[in-house]
Amino acid sequence: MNAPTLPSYSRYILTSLGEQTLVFGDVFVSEIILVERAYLLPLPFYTPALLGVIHRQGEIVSLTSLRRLLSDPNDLIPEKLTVVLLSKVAQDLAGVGLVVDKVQSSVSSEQYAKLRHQDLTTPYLQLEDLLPRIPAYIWQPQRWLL
Amino acid sequence: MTPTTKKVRSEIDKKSQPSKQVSQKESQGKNFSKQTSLGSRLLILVVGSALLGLGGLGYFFYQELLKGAKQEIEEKLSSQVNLIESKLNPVQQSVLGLAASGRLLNRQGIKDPEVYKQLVFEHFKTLNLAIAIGIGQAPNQLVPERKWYYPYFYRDQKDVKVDQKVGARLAAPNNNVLFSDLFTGDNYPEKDYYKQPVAAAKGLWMEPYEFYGISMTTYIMPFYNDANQLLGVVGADVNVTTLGETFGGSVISDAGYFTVVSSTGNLLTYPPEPPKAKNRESYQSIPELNSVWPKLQERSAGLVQTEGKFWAYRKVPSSGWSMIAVVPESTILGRVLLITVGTTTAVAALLTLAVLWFISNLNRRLKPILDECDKLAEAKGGALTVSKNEDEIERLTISFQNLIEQITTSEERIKEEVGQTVQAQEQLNQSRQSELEANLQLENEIGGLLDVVSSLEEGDLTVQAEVSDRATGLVADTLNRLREQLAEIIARVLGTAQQVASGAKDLEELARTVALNTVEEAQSVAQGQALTEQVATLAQNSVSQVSKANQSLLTVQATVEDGQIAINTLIEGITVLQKGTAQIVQRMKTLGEFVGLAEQFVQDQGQIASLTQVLAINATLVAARAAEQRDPKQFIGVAREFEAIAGQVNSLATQTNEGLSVLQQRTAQIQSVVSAVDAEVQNLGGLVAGFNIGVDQSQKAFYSVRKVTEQVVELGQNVTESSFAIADAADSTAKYIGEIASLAEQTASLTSTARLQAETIGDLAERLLQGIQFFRLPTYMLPKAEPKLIGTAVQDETSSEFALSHDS
Repeated sequence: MNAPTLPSYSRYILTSLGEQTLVFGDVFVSEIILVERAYLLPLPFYTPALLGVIHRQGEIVSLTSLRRLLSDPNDLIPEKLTVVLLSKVAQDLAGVGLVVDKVQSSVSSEQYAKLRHQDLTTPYLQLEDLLPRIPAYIWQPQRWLL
Repeated sequence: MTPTTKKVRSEIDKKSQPSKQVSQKESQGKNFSKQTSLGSRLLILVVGSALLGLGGLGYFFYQELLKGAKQEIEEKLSSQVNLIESKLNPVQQSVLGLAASGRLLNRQGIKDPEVYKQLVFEHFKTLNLAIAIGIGQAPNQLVPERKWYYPYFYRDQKDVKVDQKVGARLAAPNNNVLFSDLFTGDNYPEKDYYKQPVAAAKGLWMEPYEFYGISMTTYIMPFYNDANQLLGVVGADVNVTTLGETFGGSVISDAGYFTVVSSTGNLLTYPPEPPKAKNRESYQSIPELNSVWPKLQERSAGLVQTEGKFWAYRKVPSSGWSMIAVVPESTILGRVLLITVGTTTAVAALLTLAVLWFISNLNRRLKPILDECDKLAEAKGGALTVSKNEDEIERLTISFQNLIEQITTSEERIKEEVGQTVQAQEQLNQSRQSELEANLQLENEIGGLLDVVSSLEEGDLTVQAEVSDRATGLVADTLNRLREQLAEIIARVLGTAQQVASGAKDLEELARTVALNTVEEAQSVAQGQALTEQVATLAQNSVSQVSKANQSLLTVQATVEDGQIAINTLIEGITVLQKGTAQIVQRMKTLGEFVGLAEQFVQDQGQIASLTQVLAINATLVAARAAEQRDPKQFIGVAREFEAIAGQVNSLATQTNEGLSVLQQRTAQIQSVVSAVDAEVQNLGGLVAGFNIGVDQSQKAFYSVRKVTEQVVELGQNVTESSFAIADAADSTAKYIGEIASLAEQTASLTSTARLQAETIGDLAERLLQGIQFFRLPTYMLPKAEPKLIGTAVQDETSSEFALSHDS
C-alpha cells in the first residue's frame, strides 16, 4: 500500500476523525452503515480499540474505533456509530468496520484536489497512510500479550 | 258789594254789549270763506309748486325717452345694415374667388372653354344669396379661339317669365339650374354690366335692372393677369326682390318700416308699396320721401324728424345703397307722452291727496280753538272784528288781541275799586280815635293793677294796689287780700321745703352709697358675665373640637372600611394570581415536554439525514461497482444492493414525512400553549397592575388614618386645655357671685333706711298740701294723678280749691 505517490481514485469519501479528515478512496469502501451501540457485542480480553462485533446481513463484522486507536483509548462509545466497511481492496482488513465520527461527503477527484488546494489548515489523512499504523495486536486477545 | 262798585260794573256791562253784538254777527259766519282758508292757500301753493316741478321733471323725462327711442331706431337700422352687408359680402367673396381661379387657369395656359365652364359651375354650387354667377372674357383672353365667351349659370326663379327663358336647363339632379353663354344670350359686350366695371377698373354693384322679368342687381368685378391686362369680368347676380323680403319687419313697437334705396335713388325695397320697388321706381314717386331726400343726402348716417315721422338713414358701405327706417312720430311720442303724463298725473294726485289730508287734519285741530275764540269774543266782546277774508291764523290773532284788551279793561276797573276801599278805611279810623280817648283813663287804672300783678308775678309780695270807689278799686282791694293769703302760704311752704331739703340730702348720701354698691355689683356681674361667656366660648370650642374629633374618627372608619375592601380585593387578586401561576407552570411543563419532543424529533431527523447521506454514499459506491461490473450475475447482486439501498431511502423518506407531520402537530400544540401562556401572562400583568393600585390605595388609606389619628390626638389635647380653662373660669365666677351677694345685702339695708326717710318726707308733704288747699286751681292746672306704686304712702285724692275766684 505504501507507494511513493498515492494513487488517485474517481471518488473520495471524506470522514471526520477528531480534528482530522480521514479520506477513503471509493474502492476501499464497501459500505457505510450506522450502528446503534445496543447492537454491538463487545469482546472481552481485546484492546479497547476493538469495540466488538455486529451481525450484519448474515456476517460477523468487527468494529474498530479509530479514536481509541489513535488518541484516547478510553474514549466514550457514542449511541450511534458511523462505520465504514472496508472492501476487498483493503486485503487483510477486508470486511473490517472502521468507526469514524461522521461522514462528511462524497466528492469527485477534481473536487478533492480543489479542496486540498483551498483548505490548507485541515489535516487530511489518507487511508493508505492509516492502515499501516493499525497494530496487529489489536486483533488478538490481550491475555496472550501478558 | 258797595253801590259805587255796582255802578261801575253796570257801566262796563253796557259798554261790552255792542261789541258782543258785532262779534256775534261775525261769528255767525263760522263757516269761513274757503277762499281765504289757510288750508286752501297751502293746497294751492303746494300743488302748484309740485305741478311745476313735476312738469319740468316730466319734460326732462320726455326728452330722455325720446332720445332713447331715437337711439333704438338708429340701432335697429344699424343692425339691418350690418345684415345687408353680411348677405352681400359672401357674394363679393364668391366673385373674388372665381376671378382668382380664372386668373390661375389663364396663367397655366388653359384654353378649353369647357374648363372655364366647369369652373363657373363649381363656384355656382357654392353660392348662397346670389342666384347666378358667370365669367365673361375680354376679347380672346381666356379662350383664344373665341372672341367673346361668357359661361353663366343661374337658378330657375319663379319670377322669370316662361316665354323669356334664357339658356339651357341642366340634366338631373341639377335640373333647376340653367346655363347660358351671355354673348349669344345677351350680347354682354354691349351691356353696362360689362362696360361700367371695365371702365371703372374695380368691382361695383350695378343699379337694379330688369333681367328677363327679374329685378336684379349684379356685382361685377374685372380681373387682370400678371401683366395687368384685362382678362375679363366676373359677376354674380342677386335677386333684389328676395333680398327685400328680408327687411319686411317693423322698426319699433310694431310700427315703421325699412326701405332700401340705391345710390341713384331707385327703390330696392319699399314695404308699404312693394310693386314700386319691384318696378325700381325712383324715390320721387313717394312724396314724403321726395321731400326729405335732400336732408338724407347731407351725411352718410343720421336721423331726421319731419313730415310727422322719424327718418333714420345709413349708407351700406359695400354697395353704396341707403337704408332708411321710417317710424311715425305718434308711435314714439304717444308712448313717451303716455308714460310722462301718466306718471306726472299720478304723482300730482298723490301729492294733492296728502295735502288735503293734512289740511283736514289741521282744520279739525284748529276748529275747537277757533270756536273757543268765538265764544270768548261773544262773551267779552272786542275792538277788533273778524273779516271774511281772513284765515285761521289771522282769526286766532284777532281773538288773542281782543282777549288782551279785555284783560286790560278789567285791570283798570279793579284799580278803581281799590281806591274806593281806601277812602272807606280812613273814615273808619277817625271814628275809632274818639273811642280811644275814653278808654285811656280806664287803661291807666288797669295799668296800675297790672303793675301790682306783675310785681306779684315777679315774686314781690310786699306791694299793695290803690283802692278807690270805682270797680277797679274793688278789684285792687280783692287783690291785696289775695296777696296776704299767698304770702302766708308761701312762708309755710318755705319752712317745709327746708325740712325736705335736709331729708333729701340724707337720701342723696344713701343713694350715692347704693349707687356705688350697685356699680360694684354691676362690675362683678359684668365680670361674672364675661367669665360665663368665656366658659361658654370654651365649652363651644370643646364641642367643636369634639365634633371635629368625631368627624375625624368617622373619616378613619370610612378609610378603614375602604382599606378593608382594598385588602379583600388584593386577597382575591392574589388567589387569582396563584391560580394563574399554577396554570402557567402547568403550561410551561407542557411546553417543555413539547420542546423535548421537538428536540427528540430534531435528533431523529438528524439521524435520518445522516442515514440518508450514508445511503447516498453507499448508492454511489454501488453505482461505481456496478459500472465496473461486466458479469451480469454480479450485476444482479449489485442491483439487489441498490434496491436495498433504495428501499432504505424510501423508508427514511417515509419516516421523515411522518416526523414532519408530527412536528407540525407538535408545533401547533406549542403555538397554542404559547398563546395560552401569553394570555395568562397578560392577565397576570393586569392583575399585577391591579395589585399595584390596591397597594397604593392601601398605602393612601393608612396614610390618611395616620393623619386623622394625629388630628384626633391634637384635638384631645385642645379639649383638655379647654376643660382646665373652663374650671378656672368657673372658680372665678363663683368668687364674683359671692361678692355680688354681700353687696346686695348692703344695698338692702341701705334701701330700708331710704324708705324710712321717704316716709318722713311724705308726712311733711301731707301737711304742706293741707295748707295749700286754701287755693283753688282750674282743672287743667291741677297735676295729673300718678299711678300708685306698691308700698308707697297713699295720697289724698280730694281736689284742692282756691278761695280766690278765678275767671276761667
